[in-house]
Amino acid sequence: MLKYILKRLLMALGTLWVIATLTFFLMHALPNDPFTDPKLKPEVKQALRVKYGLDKPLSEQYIIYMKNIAKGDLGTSIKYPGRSVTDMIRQSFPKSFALGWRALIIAVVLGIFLGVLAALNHQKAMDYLSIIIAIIGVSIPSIILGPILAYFFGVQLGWFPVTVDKTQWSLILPSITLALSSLATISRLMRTTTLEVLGQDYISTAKSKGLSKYQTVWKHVLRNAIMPVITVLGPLFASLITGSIVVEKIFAVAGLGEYFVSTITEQDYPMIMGITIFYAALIILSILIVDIVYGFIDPRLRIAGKGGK
Amino acid sequence: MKKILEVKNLEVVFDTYAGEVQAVRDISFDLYEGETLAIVGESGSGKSVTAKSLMRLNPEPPVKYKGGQILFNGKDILNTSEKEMQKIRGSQIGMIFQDPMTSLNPTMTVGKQIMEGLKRHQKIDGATAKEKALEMLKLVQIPNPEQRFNEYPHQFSGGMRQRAMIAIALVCNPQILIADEPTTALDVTIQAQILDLMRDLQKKINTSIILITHDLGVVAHSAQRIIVMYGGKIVESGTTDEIFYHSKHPYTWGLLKSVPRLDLRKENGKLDSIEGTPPDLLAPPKGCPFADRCEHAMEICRKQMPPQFKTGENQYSACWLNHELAPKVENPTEIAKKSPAQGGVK
Amino acid sequence: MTDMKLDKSDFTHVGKNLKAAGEIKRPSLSYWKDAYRRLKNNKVAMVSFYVLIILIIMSIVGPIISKSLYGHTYDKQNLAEQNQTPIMSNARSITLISNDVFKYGEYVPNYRKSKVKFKNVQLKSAGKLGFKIGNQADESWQGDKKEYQLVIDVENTDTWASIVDKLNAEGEKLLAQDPDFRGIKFDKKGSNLVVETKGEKWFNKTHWFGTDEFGRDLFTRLWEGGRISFFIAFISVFITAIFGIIYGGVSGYIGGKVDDLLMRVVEILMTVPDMLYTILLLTVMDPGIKPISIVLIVTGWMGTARIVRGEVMRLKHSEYVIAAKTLGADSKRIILKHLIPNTMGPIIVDMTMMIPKMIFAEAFLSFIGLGVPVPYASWGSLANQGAKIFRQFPHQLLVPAIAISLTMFAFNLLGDGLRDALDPRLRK
Repeated sequence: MLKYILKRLLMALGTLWVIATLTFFLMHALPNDPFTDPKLKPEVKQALRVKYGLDKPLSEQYIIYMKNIAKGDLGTSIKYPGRSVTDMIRQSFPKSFALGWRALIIAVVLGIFLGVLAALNHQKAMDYLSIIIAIIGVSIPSIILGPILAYFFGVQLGWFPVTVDKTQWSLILPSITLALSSLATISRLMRTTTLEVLGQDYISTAKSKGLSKYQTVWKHVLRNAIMPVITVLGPLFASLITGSIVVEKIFAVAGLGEYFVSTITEQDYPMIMGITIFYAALIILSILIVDIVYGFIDPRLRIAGKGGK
Repeated sequence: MKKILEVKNLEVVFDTYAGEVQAVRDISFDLYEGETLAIVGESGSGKSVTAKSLMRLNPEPPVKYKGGQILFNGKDILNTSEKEMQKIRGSQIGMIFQDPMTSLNPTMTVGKQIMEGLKRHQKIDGATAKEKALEMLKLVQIPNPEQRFNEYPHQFSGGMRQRAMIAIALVCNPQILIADEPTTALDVTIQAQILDLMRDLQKKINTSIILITHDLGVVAHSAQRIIVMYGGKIVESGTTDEIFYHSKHPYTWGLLKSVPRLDLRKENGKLDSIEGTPPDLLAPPKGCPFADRCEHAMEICRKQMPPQFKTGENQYSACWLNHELAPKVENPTEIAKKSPAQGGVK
Repeated sequence: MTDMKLDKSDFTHVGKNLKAAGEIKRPSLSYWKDAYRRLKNNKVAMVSFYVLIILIIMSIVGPIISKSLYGHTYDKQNLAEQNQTPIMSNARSITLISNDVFKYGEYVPNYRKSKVKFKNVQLKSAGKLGFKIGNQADESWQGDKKEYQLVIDVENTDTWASIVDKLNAEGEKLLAQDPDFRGIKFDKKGSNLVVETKGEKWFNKTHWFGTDEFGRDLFTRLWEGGRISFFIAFISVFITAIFGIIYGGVSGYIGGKVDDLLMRVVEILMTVPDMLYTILLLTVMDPGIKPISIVLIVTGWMGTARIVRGEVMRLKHSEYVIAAKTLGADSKRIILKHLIPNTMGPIIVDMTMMIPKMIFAEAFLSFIGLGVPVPYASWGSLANQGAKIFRQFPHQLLVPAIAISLTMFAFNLLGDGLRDALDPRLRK
């Protein structure tokens, strides 16, 4: 078990290193100079370049860069000197996180619930309903769904405020918008795995023992059906993050995603790099956690099969 | 001997998009206390469906129980509520399945899976349940039962898993154990062990066993009475001796002949098999289901279903050859020719 | 048992009837024919397929039609025709200009203010109550530059009922004076005051889907956008597939250490979140159709490679490949005749499911400003623009939204159907 965790940890760190390196080289492959303001005199430009260490050879810059990351320093903005990446993240991420964990819970809990219900009522009303929700979640991107939901539930019906303020209530609409596509994926997957498990022999065995339907589902079906779903939770994080970029813009949330978009438009390269690395680290961390959790749940990974006679 | 189970005119169909598939067409048989009854037939003969019907284990759509009764302990299984059935399953009737690899929940310890049935049917606490489960493990001859109790199915070998299955099925001392092809997925060497184990347990617990199989070797080893099924019907039934040595049905002859035997050398070295394939149960033939593949078939065979002719003390054969007007055809199997009654060797 | 009257003739020997016993009830079909048959039976998938065909044809033909009929192009601006809707109405706008009379909780206008709702109204005092009907600046809606003033005096003795009557009477008067006024209706529904101007409604003849804020025809822009979106999606998927097939095929076929290494690389690359990379790459490159395609390819080929490699490995050890080898077939023949046809199934499904992902990715990139440059349109950029003024002019979002959603929906259903049809285990 320990070996498994260590292996995963190493993979995670390795990937993070690859990403940081790739990011670095990409940013430095730019043909354009970040200091393109024509008003800047050449001496000033040169001073700026020295300040940001851009005059040093590439390999040296790389080492400095890596060291900084290890220290937790992700760089400073070029467009707004004095603003460091970590500051901005600290400022705006909590708002994103507030949306994010709510969306995660909605997606996972509802998704599993819907998926199981659908499978248990195969080809009856509940099944079709969940398929429809799944397809909507998958086909209608949040770019479209967000404004529509905001309009109908916010403006027309007036149930929710359209922009996020200090209330819990205002977080509901954006959380649901963010959760929807993940919910769709999870419920679709859960339905498939549950159907597969329902067809397995050990379910017949359970039935032949005289167990009630409820007992069978709870003890035998769920534990086995949930496992493939857990494996997709890690990558699902990535889509939550990209989704947050959209949702924050639509619902005017001053979170990291919204800020990220503005740095892209402003072409503030250190910011873009820093935030990218932060996001990547988040995703890798969540994949790592999911992998470890999965290791605990699947006894086949926990204990190598001995199978002696 | 006491009759434990009476199946009367059972009809089971599958509702499919193409129509109704008649899997079991009007069969009747009884089961007595303490005996082992084998149901023999090829795939599609209806034997599995029959077995599952005894516990109403078939998925209920698409399966429909169209007619007949299954009388057990004074109740008609086909007329009992699902809740009542849940009380019967596992406690009064137990079942073991063909593939022990997939019949056990991979994420639950073996011990817990055995205790599940106990806790469901008997009001006992955890400690007693564990004791009983450990006893069961010992009874099915699994070594190191305390250690194995906490292990998962993937840590067991194939034979051990099947033993665990038997433990699960028998832990509540059911009156009937249904074994659906219990040895098909196992090595030949393990097969004999499992069959012997079942026989031992049967004596200890006094369970009746219904053994579903297509393997005549298994039958010879373990069963006292045999039912031969084909095309959803019972074509012959009787004691093991009667069926093996005095069969009066061409299908049974075919089955017996197709068992490869080392002591009988044929000139061409070919294995005997029955040509053709089983009938389409979506539109079953109205005569004898075996007629199309039977070299002795007669006009009447195509037109009318043969009744069960009494052909021995406990033997019934549904074949027109046994009618007084039919030509006399001799049982061509070598076993018959060497039957003990004729002074031959078993 | 012996009730039936049987005689000796019934017992004449007939023997076996193997034709009946061995008859194959259904004709045996080849894998592809069987898959095709199954797909055709899947109504949902077939409907999706036709919907997609229609969408693609329209993308090709649409701009040509509107150009030949009205001379619209995707970039022709006409500010006099800005923000037109598919269904036109010349109902005039309503503006409250003087109000001593009542207070209200909420003011809910429709996007053209031709129907306004004052919620939770309460009478305050007597005085003047006046509305401006119409607006000189609304020429593109109203068709003219007329404005009207509708004013009444409210006494202390007036109730809501009498106020509403007075307002309506004044409206009638204005209408009688000038039929171009077109009419107005005041109503009190519960605790809300609802005001609505009348007008004719007709389908927008020149701009079938309306226009955007610069007066550009949405019908043309939608189908031009379709061309771009589909083009990007198809090209990206196609090239991704080629890379994926080659990489995965080689890795799977050679196996051993080479395969291990190649797959490790893919594994690491796959953990890199693709959206982040698309963003980074696009920031580095100038936006345009080519860069977007390149970026999508770079992030997409790995999934295909994995699937192809899996299939190739599975088949490599299957019996008929071994059989072919035994018969002396060389590698090239094996690959061409055996491996490729049999791996095509999952590859086709994968490609079909990738297209909606590409379309979504393109829409997402447009949303954050990394999409096709103006004035080009893609469905993503149209949706982006539409989302901004959704509340006032919903059609500008709805039109591309429906196109995107319908396409993704249809591809998903088609992909599901293909997966079911091509799954050899489901052969009946």
